[in-house]
Amino acid sequence: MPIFTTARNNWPSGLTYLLLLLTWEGLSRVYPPVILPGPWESLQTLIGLYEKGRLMEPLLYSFLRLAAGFGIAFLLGTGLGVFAGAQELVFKLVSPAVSVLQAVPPVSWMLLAILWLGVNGGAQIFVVALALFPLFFFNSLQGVRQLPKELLEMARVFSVNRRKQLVDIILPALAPFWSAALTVSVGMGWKTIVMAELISGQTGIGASMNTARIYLKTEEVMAWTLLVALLGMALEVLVRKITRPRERRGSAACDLQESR
Amino acid sequence: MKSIYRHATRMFASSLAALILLTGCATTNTATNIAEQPGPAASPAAITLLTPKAPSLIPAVYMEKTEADGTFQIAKWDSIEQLLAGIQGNEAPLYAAPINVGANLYAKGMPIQLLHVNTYGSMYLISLDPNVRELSQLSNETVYIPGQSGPPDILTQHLLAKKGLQGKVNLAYGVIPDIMQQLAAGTIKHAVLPEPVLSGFRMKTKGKVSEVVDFQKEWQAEFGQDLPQTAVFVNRDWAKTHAADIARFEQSYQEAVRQVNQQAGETLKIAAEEFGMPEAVLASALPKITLLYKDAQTAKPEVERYLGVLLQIAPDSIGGSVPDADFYYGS
Repeated sequence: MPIFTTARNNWPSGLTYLLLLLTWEGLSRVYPPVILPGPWESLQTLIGLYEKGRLMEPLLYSFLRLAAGFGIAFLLGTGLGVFAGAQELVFKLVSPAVSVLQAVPPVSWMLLAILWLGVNGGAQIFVVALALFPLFFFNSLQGVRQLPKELLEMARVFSVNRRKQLVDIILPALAPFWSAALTVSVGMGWKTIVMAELISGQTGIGASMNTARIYLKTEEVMAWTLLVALLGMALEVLVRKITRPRERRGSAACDLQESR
Repeated sequence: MKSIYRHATRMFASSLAALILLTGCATTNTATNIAEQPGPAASPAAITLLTPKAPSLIPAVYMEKTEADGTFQIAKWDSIEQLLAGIQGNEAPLYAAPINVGANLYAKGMPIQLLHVNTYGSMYLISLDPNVRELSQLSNETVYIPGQSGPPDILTQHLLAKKGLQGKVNLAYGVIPDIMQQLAAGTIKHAVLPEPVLSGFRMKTKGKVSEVVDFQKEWQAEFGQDLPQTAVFVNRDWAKTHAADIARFEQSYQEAVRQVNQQAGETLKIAAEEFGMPEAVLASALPKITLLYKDAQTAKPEVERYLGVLLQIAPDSIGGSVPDADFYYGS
């Protein structure tokens, strides 16, 4: 019985992927390749891009931009978020501004960023940092607000030193919130970077996609899309694994129980 | 039990998605079949020309207005995806497009043929520095170009190479609205711009624009030919059964070009609305635009020369090779 359930547990999602691939393949046979290239052709194009040395440089540019934007958003977002969580006045002052930030669509930021920073002024990094900043801010804020007050009080009563308080109480309490923010934002940031480059970049994956579309090389557009999607999924899985080691063990235990 | 439910839902959702995709495709197929049927009753219906917001739109507007009611009608495309979808979905039998895009579509196996070329040159490298008169004065300066890898980029590179300035003049890229805004703000000084948008900018700056390169003149000096830019293409399958309609369209468009060049009059007002710019701007742009009708066979040597230059610098821009004779209607 356990084996049977496990097999069925894994089978349907595999089946979904297979079905998607088959649908893609089927449709690609109906339409000319310039409208819809097939999965195999797209994969071959991707390999071709790598062999011609046209894959790694755009990939590196996009990654560096993501890292920079992500880093800025993380530092500013968590910093301000923690501060606002601790001080009610700061919260009241800053939080409406962050809400406004969050409501402005990334595309608007993109157009304005080109105007303000020029085409080569790091507009893409700016946009990603702005798009991710509210996520980190609000998650850190929530985390600080839900700190176990009794534990902290007890620590104070027993005069546990500040470093120990931080490491053993505060950080573990904040971790799930950060982990959630990181997982969501890494995927979102990755897609935002590519979009930003498509609109304004001369380098990076988005720019390569734009050149491909202007040249009607739909198979290259598809190859890049495939790569962006796969890397996005991989990044999310990676971040989840890094940031949530304890919970993973927990959920694994749950799975075991369920299958029994 | 719970998990079985979940899986059933998941299966259902995915098959539903597949079904929608498949039926969606079936519907487009039916539409295609209907449009492809040449039936004799088809001729009274309006013949649609898909055109970008480029100078070729001006004669098209004239044609739509003067021809008997509803013989020809215009639909517009903005992005290359719209054009592609229009061809694939048989939304129109006639398409105006940059020549390299047409050659590229042809190379990709789309069923199109070049009917005639109607726009030449009409692109300029300008500077806000009144002292700049020569390309060589732009060493170490940055020239902004609309659209990386497009004809403006390739032709500028060609010119720089010819004058031995390759690598000395920096090229940067943007989209036309951004370049115009940055020029207006003074953050950039030199750019390549097509008409009629350039005239809009000239008017805004009250003539402080220095014209450094007229691409049409440079091309004429180098090759003794005009620089072909935009053409009208026809769906090859449609063309087989609509020779009379094509002849009528060609005659009508040629006449429209002549009229627009002589006295645009009322046409300008409508065209200006289509472009979304004041009529005065379009009127001032007209002398800077080379509208010239040449049928496929007449234009062939020029088109081949042009595509040959594009092929050397950016083969992908025309689909990897100069098209064969079948690319030209009437061969």
